[in-house]
Amino acid sequence: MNSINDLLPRPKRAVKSNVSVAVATAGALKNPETQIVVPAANKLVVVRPESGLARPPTEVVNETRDRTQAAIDAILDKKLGTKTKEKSGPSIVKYTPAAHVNESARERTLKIVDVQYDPLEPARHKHVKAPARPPSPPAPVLKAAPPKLTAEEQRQWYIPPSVSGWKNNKGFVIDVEKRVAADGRFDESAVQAGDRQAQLAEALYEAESKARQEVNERNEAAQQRQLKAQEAKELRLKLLAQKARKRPLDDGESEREKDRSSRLKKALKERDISEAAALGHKPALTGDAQFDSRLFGKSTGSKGLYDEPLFAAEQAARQIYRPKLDEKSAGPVEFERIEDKYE
Amino acid sequence: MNFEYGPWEETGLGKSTRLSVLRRTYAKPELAVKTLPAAPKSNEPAEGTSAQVGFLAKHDSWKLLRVITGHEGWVQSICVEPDNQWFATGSADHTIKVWDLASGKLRLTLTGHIMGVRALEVSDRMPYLFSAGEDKTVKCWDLESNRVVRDYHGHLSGVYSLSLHPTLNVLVTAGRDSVVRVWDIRTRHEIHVLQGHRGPINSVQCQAVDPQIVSGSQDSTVRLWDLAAGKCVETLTHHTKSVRSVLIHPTEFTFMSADRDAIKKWQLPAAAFMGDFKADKPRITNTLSLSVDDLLFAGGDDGTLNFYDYNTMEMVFQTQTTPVPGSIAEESGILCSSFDKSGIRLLTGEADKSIKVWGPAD
Repeated sequence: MNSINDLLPRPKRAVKSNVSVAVATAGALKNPETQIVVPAANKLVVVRPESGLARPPTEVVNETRDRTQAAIDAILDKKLGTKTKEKSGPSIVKYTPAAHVNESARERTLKIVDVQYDPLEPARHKHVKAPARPPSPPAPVLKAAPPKLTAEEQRQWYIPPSVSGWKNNKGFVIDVEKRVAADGRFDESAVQAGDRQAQLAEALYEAESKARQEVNERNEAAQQRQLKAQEAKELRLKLLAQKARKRPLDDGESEREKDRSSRLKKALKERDISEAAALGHKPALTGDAQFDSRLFGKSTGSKGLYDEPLFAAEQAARQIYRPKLDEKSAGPVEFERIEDKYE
Repeated sequence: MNFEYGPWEETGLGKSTRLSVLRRTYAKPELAVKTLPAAPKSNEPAEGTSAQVGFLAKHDSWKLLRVITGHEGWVQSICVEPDNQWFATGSADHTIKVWDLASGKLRLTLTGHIMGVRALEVSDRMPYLFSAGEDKTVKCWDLESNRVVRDYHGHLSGVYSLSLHPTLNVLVTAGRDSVVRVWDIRTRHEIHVLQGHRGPINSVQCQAVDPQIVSGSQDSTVRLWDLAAGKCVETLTHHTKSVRSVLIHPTEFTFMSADRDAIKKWQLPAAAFMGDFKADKPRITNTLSLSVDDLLFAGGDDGTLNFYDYNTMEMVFQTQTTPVPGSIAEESGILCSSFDKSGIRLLTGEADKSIKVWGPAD
C-alpha cells in the first residue's frame, strides 16, 4: 500500500477483499467474477475469514503517521507563520521565447531577484469573498425507507387544531361543535364508562331498592303496631266507661267533691300564719306602719300627680272668659241662610 | 495484570455509612437471558480464540460489586488510566473526580469546568488528562500538578466527545456545533475543522491508520474523515436514528456504531457493513465498551446492561441496573462505561449519580 488512495474506499462503496460474502436477499448486486459487492441496506451478511480483519502492519501505521504529521506541520506553519523561507540569492535562468511570439527569438539570460518586501506596507490585494464550493454530492442512503403510513395510522396521528375558549384575536367564526370539542368538559368520549363502573352502578341501584323495601316494610309493621295499640286503648276506655255507667249513683258525695274538701283542709292546715293571727288577735301597729305610706308625701313629687285635677288652672281661665249664653251680643255672629230660588 | 484488587467489602468512601447500607439492599441480578454460543470448533483455532472464548464462558453473567457515590450529578464520562490504578469520572456537577480503582476511594476532585463534563481521556503518552464539557471548553490537565495547563478554545457549543490520536500529538473533539475539531495538543491551535455533519456529534474516535477519525452524529450518519487532508471520505447512512456511540476495535480493523435500533459492525478501511448485534428490542444505547476479551458492553438509556460476544455478535448476558435507593425511576440510564484494562471489571456512570462497578458473577 503506497498511497492513501489504497486505503480509502473505492467509489460506489465496493468492497474488494478476500472476505467471502453472501447476500441475503435480492436487491444486492453480486458480481461473482470480481467479488465486488454493492451492499443493500442491512441485508449483507459477511462471513468473516480467520485473518481478514487484522489491523494494518506497523509500516502502514508509521507511514500514515509521517504523512499526516507532514500535512499537519504544513498547516500549522501556515497558521503560526513559523515557516522560514530559505533566503535565495538571485538566480540566473536561460530561456528562449517561443517562435510564434517572436520570430527573431534568441536565447536570453535572465536574473531573477526577489523584490524587497516591506513589512509595514499595507496589503495590496483586495478582499474578495470567494463563492462557496459546490457541496459534495449527498451520500447514498443505505437504509430502508420508513414504511408508508396507512390511512388508519394517519388518522391516529391527526391532531385537531387548537381552538381556544378564551382567545380569538382574529375573530374567526368558529363552529360551536369545534368550541365544544376544544373544551375538555364536554368531551363525552373521554368519559368511558367501563364494565366495573356499570357493575358498581347496578349494585348501588340494587342496594338502594332493597333498602327502600326494607324501610317500607318496617314502616308498615310500625303502623300496624300503632293501630293495634290504639284499638286496645279504645277498648279499655270503652270498658271503663261501661263500668262507670254501671256503678250506682246514690252513694253520698261524689268522689270529686270528696277530693275538693280534702284538698281545702290540707291547704288550710299547711298555711303559714303567726300564732297571734291564729288566736284571732289583731296585731298592734305602731309608728309609720299604722298608716299607708302613700298618703304621706301627697304635696311633693310624683306621688301627688293625680291628687289635683290636671287642667285645673285652664278650667279656671275658661270659667273666666266663657261667653254667656244669654247675652246675644256677646256670642259669635250667626248668618242666616238665604233661600235659593233655583234649588 | 500487574495489580491486585482490594477487598471488595471495604467501604468505598471516608464517611459512607450510607454505602454499606446500600450494598446490603442489592438483590442478585437476573441471570443470563441467552447462553453463550458454542465455541467454534476448529482443528487450528485462530490465535487466542479458544482461550478467549473459554475466558468469556466464565463471564457469561455479571453482577454488581460496588456502588460509588460522591458525584452530585449525572456521571457522564468515565475513563480508566493506562496503568489501571485509578479512573476518572466527569459529571454534570461540573467536577472531575479521580477514584482508586481497587478500593473505590476518592483520590482527587478537579474543578475548573463551569458546566457538565461530557468527555474524558487520559493520555498514555503524556501525563495529561483531557476533558471536554458543555461549557464549550476543552481542557488539558497536568496530572503531576493537577492543574489546567492548556485550553483549546474554539467550539461554538457544548463539546460532547473527545479522542486522542494514538500516534500523533493531536486531539480530536466534537460536539453540539456539529463539527469535528482537530487540535494540536502542544500549540493549542486548531488544525482542522471538519464540517459535514448536519446534527450534533455524539461520539468521535481516532485511530492510527486511515480513516483516522470516525464520528457518529444525531443526523443518524457516521462519517469517516481523512485527517491529513481534512476531508470527509465516507458517509454511512445505514442508521435510522441518532448514533450515540462509536467504538473502534483496538486489535481488529473494525468499528462499531450504535443507534436506537441496532449496534452495527463495520469493516475498515472501506467501512463495509458486517452486521447487527442482535438485541431483544429497540433500545437507546448510550455507550459502548469493549473488553480485552472481546466482550462488547452496551449500556442502555433505560438502565439495561447488554453484553455481546464481539465475534459471534450474539447477546451473552443482559441485566438491569440497580438504582440507588431514593433515585426516581427516570434516573436509571447508563450514560458512560468503561472496562478496566484487565477486562474483569466494568465501570458504569449512571444517571442516578453513582458509579457502579460490575464483575463476573463467578
